[in-house]
Amino acid sequence: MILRPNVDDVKIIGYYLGRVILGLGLTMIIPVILGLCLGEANPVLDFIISLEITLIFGLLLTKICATDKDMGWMHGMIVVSLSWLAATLAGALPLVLSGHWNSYLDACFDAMSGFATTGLTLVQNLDHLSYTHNLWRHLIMFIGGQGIVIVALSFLVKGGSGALKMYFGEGRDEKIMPNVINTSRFIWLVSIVFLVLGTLALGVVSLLNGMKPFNSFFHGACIFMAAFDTGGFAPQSQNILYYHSLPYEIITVIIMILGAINFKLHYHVWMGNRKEIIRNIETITLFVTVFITFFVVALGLAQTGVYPQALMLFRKGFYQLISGHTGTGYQTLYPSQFINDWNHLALVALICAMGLGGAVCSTTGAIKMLRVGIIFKALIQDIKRIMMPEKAVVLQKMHHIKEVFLADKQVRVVFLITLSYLLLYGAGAMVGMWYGFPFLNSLFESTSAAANVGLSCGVTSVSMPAGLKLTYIAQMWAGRLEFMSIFTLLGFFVAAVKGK
Amino acid sequence: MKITPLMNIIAGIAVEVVYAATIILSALITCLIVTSIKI
Repeated sequence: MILRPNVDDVKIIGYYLGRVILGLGLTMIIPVILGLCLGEANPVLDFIISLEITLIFGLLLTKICATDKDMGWMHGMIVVSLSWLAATLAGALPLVLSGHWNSYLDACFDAMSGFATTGLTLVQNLDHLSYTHNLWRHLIMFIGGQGIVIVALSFLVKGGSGALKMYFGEGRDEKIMPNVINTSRFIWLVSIVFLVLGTLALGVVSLLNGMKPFNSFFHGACIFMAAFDTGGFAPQSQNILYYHSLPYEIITVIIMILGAINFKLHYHVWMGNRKEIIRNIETITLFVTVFITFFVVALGLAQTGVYPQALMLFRKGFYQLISGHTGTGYQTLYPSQFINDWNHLALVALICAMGLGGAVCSTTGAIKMLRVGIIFKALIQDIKRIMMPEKAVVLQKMHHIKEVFLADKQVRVVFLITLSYLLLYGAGAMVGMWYGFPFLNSLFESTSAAANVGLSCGVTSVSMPAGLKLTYIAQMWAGRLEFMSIFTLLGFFVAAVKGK
Repeated sequence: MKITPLMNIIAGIAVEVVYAATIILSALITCLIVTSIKI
C-alpha cells in the first residue's frame, strides 16, 4: 500500500526548499559586487531584480511552510531534486535579462548546464557579454560542482540528519568526515585552495601571453571554476581555443584531472596518506580507462591523418579526450570538426570516455570510476567462481581508502545505476534522431548532456527544437543527481495521486 | 623534522599534480608511438 503524502510532508519539503533558494539568492550578491566595482550598471540591475525575486520566493516558502519537524529520507531526496529545478529557474533570470539569450528556455538551458556542470551553451554573442554575467555563468558552475545543497548546508541548514539526507540525495556516495557539515566545509577548503593556485597559474600564463592584467586573472578565475568543477563554460565563444597556448592547455588538463578526483581521496592524501593515490581503485581505473580510450582515439585519428604530428595529436586528440572523460567539456576544436575531421572510431571512443566520467564524490557526472572498477572486479569474481570448485567461497577485494570486500548487494546497485545511465544516453540519442539528427551526432550530444560533459559536435544550437532543449535539460538534471532523488520525486507524485 | 598540517597539504597537492602529470606523460608517449608508426 502506498501512503499519500500529508500536509506536514509538503511543509517540510517547502521549508527546506525555501532555505536552499534563499542561499542561492544570496550568491547573486557576488556578481553584484563585481558589477558595482566595474561600473556595469545594467548588468547590476539585472542581478538586483533577480536577487529580489529569488529572495522573496525563498522567504515566502520558508514562512508559509514554517515547520520544526525533522526531515526524512523522502523529504531530503525531494528537496534536492526540486532545489536543482528551482536553482535553474532562478539562475536563468539574470541571464535572460541580459538579452544575450533568445528566450527564457535558452537561459534555463544554460543555467541547468551551469549548475549541473555540463557546459553546453545557447548564449548569443558571448564575446560581448558583461563581466558580471560572465562571472555568474562560471559561479553557477562552481556552486553546482560543489553541490547546490552543499552551499546551503555550509551556511544555512543546521547540521544533523536533515543535512545528511540532502547530502546523499545530491548524488554524493561518500561522507568524508563523520559530520556532514564538516564534510561540506572540507569540500569548500579543497576548492578554494585550488581556486587560488589555479587562478594564479592561468593568470600568469595569460599575462605572459600578452593579455591585460585584469582580463588575465578574471579569465583565469572563470576558467579554473569551470575546469575544476568539470563544467566547461569559458568567457570567450572559442572556448580554450581562444588562448592558443600549450601551457594554458596543460594547466587546464591538470585542473580537470584534479577536479575528477574523489574529495575523500583529496582528504586522505592531504592528511598524509599519500600512497592512497596509487592504490585507490578509482585513480587506477581512471588511469587505465584514459589510456585505453585515448589509445583508440589516437588510432582512429592516425587513420584519418588529420593530426600527423605527435604534439598536434596531443593538443587536439588528448585534450578533447581528457576533457570528455573528466566531464569538463573544454574544447580546442570547433564543434563541426568532430564530425568533419574525426572518424567514427575516434568519435565512438570519445563517447565511451564521456560516458565513464571521473570519481564518485567529485564534481563529475556519468557512470564514474568506482562503479567501473567494481564492475571489473565483479567480472573477475564471477570468472573465479566458474573456475573454482562449486563449494568454494570466492571473495573479491578492492582498495578504496581501505581494503573492502565486494558485496553482491553493492554490485547490484552499481549495475542498476550504470544501466540507468546507459538508458539515459540511449533515450536522448533517440530523441535527437527523432528530430532528424544522424545517429552518431545524436548519441554524442546526448551522452555529453547526460554525463554532464559539455563537448558538442554541433547539435546544440539556438535553432535546436524546444523539445530537444527540454530533453537535454532533463538529461543534465537526471545525470547530475544520479537518479535516486528524481525517482523519489516521481514516486511522491504517484503517491499523491494513488496513495491512501 | 615535525610535519605540519600545512606541509602535509602542500605535499598532498604535489602528489596529486604528479598523478595528473603521469597521465599527461603517458598520453604524450602514446601520441609519439602512434604518429611514428605507419598504420
